[in-house]
Amino acid sequence: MIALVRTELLKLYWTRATWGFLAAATLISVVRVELVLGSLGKVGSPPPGSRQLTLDLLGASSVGVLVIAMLGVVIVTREFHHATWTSTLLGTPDRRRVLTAKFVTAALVGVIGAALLFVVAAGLGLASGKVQLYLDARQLQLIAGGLLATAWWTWLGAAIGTVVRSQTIALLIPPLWMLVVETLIPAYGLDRILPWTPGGLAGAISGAKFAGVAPVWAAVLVMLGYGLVLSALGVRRAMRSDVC
Amino acid sequence: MAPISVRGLTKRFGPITAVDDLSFDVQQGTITGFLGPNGAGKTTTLRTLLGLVHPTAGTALIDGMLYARLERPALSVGAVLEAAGFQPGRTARNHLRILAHPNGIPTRRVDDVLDEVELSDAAGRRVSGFSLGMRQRLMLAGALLGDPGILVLDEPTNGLDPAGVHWLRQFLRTRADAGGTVLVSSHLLAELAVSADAVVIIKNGRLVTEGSVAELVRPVGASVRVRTPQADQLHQVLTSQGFRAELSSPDEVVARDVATRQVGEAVAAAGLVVYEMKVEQPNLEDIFLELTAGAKSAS
Repeated sequence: MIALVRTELLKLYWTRATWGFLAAATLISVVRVELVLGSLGKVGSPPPGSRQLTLDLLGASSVGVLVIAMLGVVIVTREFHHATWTSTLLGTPDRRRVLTAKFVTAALVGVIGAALLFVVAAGLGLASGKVQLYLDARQLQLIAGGLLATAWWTWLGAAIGTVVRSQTIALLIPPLWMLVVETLIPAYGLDRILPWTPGGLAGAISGAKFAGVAPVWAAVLVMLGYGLVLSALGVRRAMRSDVC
Repeated sequence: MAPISVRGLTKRFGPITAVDDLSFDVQQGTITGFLGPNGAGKTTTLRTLLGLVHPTAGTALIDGMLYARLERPALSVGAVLEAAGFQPGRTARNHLRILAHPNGIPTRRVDDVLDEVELSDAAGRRVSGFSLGMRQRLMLAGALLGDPGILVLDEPTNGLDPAGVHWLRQFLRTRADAGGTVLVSSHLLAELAVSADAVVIIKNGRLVTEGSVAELVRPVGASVRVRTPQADQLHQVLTSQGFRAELSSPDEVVARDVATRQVGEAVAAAGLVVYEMKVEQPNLEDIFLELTAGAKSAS
């Protein structure tokens, strides 16, 4: 399994798209962080040097997570898109192992990507001289939760890619979900399910406070459930399909 | 146990039967041509052998095992398949390193195989800039990584220029002479199968015939074509002696399954004039065309 995960990491390292996605994620986060810093002193924004400002800043980097989740999709769909799936399976005929390695790789990429975004956000904040890192329990939970949630998103992305297969459609699912579906849920009076949506769960483990937020342990269990069900569906599809 | 053994293999895609109760063996140390018109089921058979397609019934085994059960398949079988793609932005060397890694093949072997297929100069170039022929060579390099005893190639001459085809033919010959087993499919018999030791011919997913090339050619026997101004008389003489003969044109007779000596003696006994007499040996291509005649050319 370690050799397979290493192979997947090598594939990513030698794919230009990987660096494109990471660059795009960084860029989006930089813009968001600059917006937070730029609004300092305006009505409703936390005072410079406050704990709340640090939280806002670190939270702002989370938009880039969406792009990292899309990188998770590409880990799988790229193989179908370029028809490299055939040579991958010739080398490792056990499809379940190949996909498990991809899911693990996706989660690793999520952790690395989220860490990169946090470092960028914290770096910009510190460089501005208006932000202090406290690293108290609240901020540590935000960081730990962010890393975990991103790992989960990229895993989901890879699982979605396995189920859907079409790179174009699969790539559209994470942004459509996060930016459209989850924002529409309150509008349709479905607030009660909000804590159990991917966004709500990610918020729960990162210490977000909102109505009906799930306890961390429950959120983690439900996240695992979502991931395992989607992965199982994807693996089932891959096991049954003929590679022609 | 034959290195490759197909037994009762059937594959249906919905209402279409691509492979229909197919059985054949491929012997060690031979090049076996896997022949049939387009859409005959060659690719489906090979992909089933390689664990990519699930058979509806029957088995296709490598050294008596399912491909999926092979511990490190690259060390047993190398495959060159059509429509197996490349990540275009990746270099040839990195493409091979990714194939080598999961099978525990050392990185230095990558340069060896690039050398073997004469691609060393292009090792650091992105595959997107490769010609079809170069891609085929790279695919072959990937197949050779584990130095496998068995090679399976699906239409490997597609995209190769005549020099490339010649090179591939010699390359496969060398592998087979060294004890390797080669199964190579083609819809163009002339290109590769001329160097084959044995052939398996399929049509509409069914086995038409299999055997050594020598065996296949023999039973058809030779014909003797005779040009003579007395074609009618010669035709009568030959048929009266029990030979199969026909008038192919007003001054030509073709006698089937006879030796030139027999025709010559008949001509002399009847006192006929002959301008020309020549033996026509059927070749594999004629047999292939005859056996697969009438097949719809799908795909």
